[in-house]
Amino acid sequence: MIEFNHVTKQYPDGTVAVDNLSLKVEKGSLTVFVGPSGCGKTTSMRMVNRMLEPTLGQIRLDGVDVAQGSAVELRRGIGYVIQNVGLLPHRTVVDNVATVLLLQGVHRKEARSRALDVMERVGLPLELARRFPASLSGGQEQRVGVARALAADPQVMLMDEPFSAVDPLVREELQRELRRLQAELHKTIIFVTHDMDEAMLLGDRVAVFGGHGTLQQYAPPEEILARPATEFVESLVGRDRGYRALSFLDAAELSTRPAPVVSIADSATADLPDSGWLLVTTQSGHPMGWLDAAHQRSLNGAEPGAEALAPLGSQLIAGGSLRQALDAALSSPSGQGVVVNSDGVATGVIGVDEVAARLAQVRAAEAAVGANR
Amino acid sequence: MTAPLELPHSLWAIDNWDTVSEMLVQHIWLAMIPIGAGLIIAIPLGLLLCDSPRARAVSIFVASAIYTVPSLALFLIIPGIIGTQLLSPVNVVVALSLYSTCLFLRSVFQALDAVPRAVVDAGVAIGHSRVQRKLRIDMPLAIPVLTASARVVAVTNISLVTVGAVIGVGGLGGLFTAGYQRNFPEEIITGIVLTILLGLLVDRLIALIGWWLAPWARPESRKRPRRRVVAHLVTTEA
Repeated sequence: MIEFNHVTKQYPDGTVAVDNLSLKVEKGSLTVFVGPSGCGKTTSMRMVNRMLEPTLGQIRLDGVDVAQGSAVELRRGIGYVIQNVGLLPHRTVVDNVATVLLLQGVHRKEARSRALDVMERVGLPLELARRFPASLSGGQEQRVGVARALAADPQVMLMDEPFSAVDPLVREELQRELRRLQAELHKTIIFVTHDMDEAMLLGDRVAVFGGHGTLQQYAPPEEILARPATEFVESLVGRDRGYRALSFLDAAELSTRPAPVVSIADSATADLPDSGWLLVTTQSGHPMGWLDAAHQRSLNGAEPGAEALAPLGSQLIAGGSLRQALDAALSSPSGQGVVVNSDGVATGVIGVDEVAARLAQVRAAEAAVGANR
Repeated sequence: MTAPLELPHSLWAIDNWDTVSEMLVQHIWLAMIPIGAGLIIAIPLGLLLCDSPRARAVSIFVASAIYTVPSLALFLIIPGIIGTQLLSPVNVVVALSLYSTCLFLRSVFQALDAVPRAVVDAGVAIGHSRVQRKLRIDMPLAIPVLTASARVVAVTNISLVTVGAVIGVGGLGGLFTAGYQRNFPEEIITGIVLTILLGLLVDRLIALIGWWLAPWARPESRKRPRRRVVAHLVTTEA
């Protein structure tokens, strides 16, 4: 557990970077510090491993004041990932990952073998082990950064905008990876970002920082979206707030309709349903695309090629959120979002109406709970 | 020792190979010892002083001042300071070591400044102590800059050694003075050609050592494989 007790950081020129910050990061949870640049989020994080010292107040790690003992020893016990990765350019990938182990005095051979294990765990191909960082792609570098932080198996990790320098596609992949790793490893993590979407996606709890290092709200992401504590938080989460809130609602209880599926072999001759769209699947039931009347006619009885099918749009995978459900419905050319099970087999379809109906149910239930209070 | 090759015309350098080779050997160590000495003094000194802007400014000033003293003057001043014989080769070695140190010190500072901030910051944050940071991060990363600077210093030393001929310890420089006194151009040309060849050879050699010491800085270590964006998109759509 990480505790900030009335922590203030003031620079010699009088600037207050962090103002009387008190918060707790529970053991095994991921807390995101989010806010505009200059709001004190990074400063707050860097005081945990004493890269900066607070002017006032105290930071405790599992009940022990971090200011006690040696800063170097403290840092070796805390995983650290920064935006620019900061890999040692003169060390190979495996030696970079092994850095902290080597600093702790682990023998080179053992450190390397443990480093290789961690590389595997974060999805780094082992043939990169002997390469130098300069030859890696941005996404690979970032993974090496994460592997380095994890190698010594620290209980606490600090991540300073680790994914903001990579392109959006890679970023999403890294975010998914982090969630997967965290579900497995349960580290106590402080994650700094200026990206509200990233904060909402990753955080068990989110700390929103405002100007001059004041904490505006510290709550689970659902609550921040539903009940922003201050005008500042509201302005920060304002855009797409309703849509984002759907991310936290389970799509499991959504009522789905049977999908108008037809296997590709029969698609040219099958009757069209009232909606005018057939969902063409492979023999094994995996959806391939949508077929409408005009395209079916042009087939003249032959099996459709890829060009005859309209793209599927996004799909709602079992266990997804209402946000994914709505997106599936909106992005499907037929207006029907495809629902698939974890094997990718189509199990049904949903429309915008079903999502709206489910949302109305949730709202009604919430209102009932509120009235009973 | 006799000539290694049968040549159609007899060359002065080959006829007098005993003398010439002796001068060449002297030239090599007169030029090379100062490079080693310069590195051994300048690197720790640079690492020690680099954190204090004041110490840096003062040391750069002193180094520049020493470097402006003409070499011949230094060859003659040094015996007075360290008590060596006026014609001792030690004077040349000490003088050139001093110049080398002055040149290296400046480039140690430059090399340390060139170490990326993010690398140092991350290094400290994951638990390098002050000394570990200097030895395991700063120093190895300074190698490419120091190699470049060592090449310059080596060539400078090789040419400065010849000035020592005036006080009788100049390696191949002795060929200039002797050839001039005897009005014998071939001897002078031999001196010039061998000095240039030695300079080129040592320059390559140091470049090679730098290449060997800094595998990460080699061009083939920096090549990024092209990302296969197209292939990636196709597979996700399929």
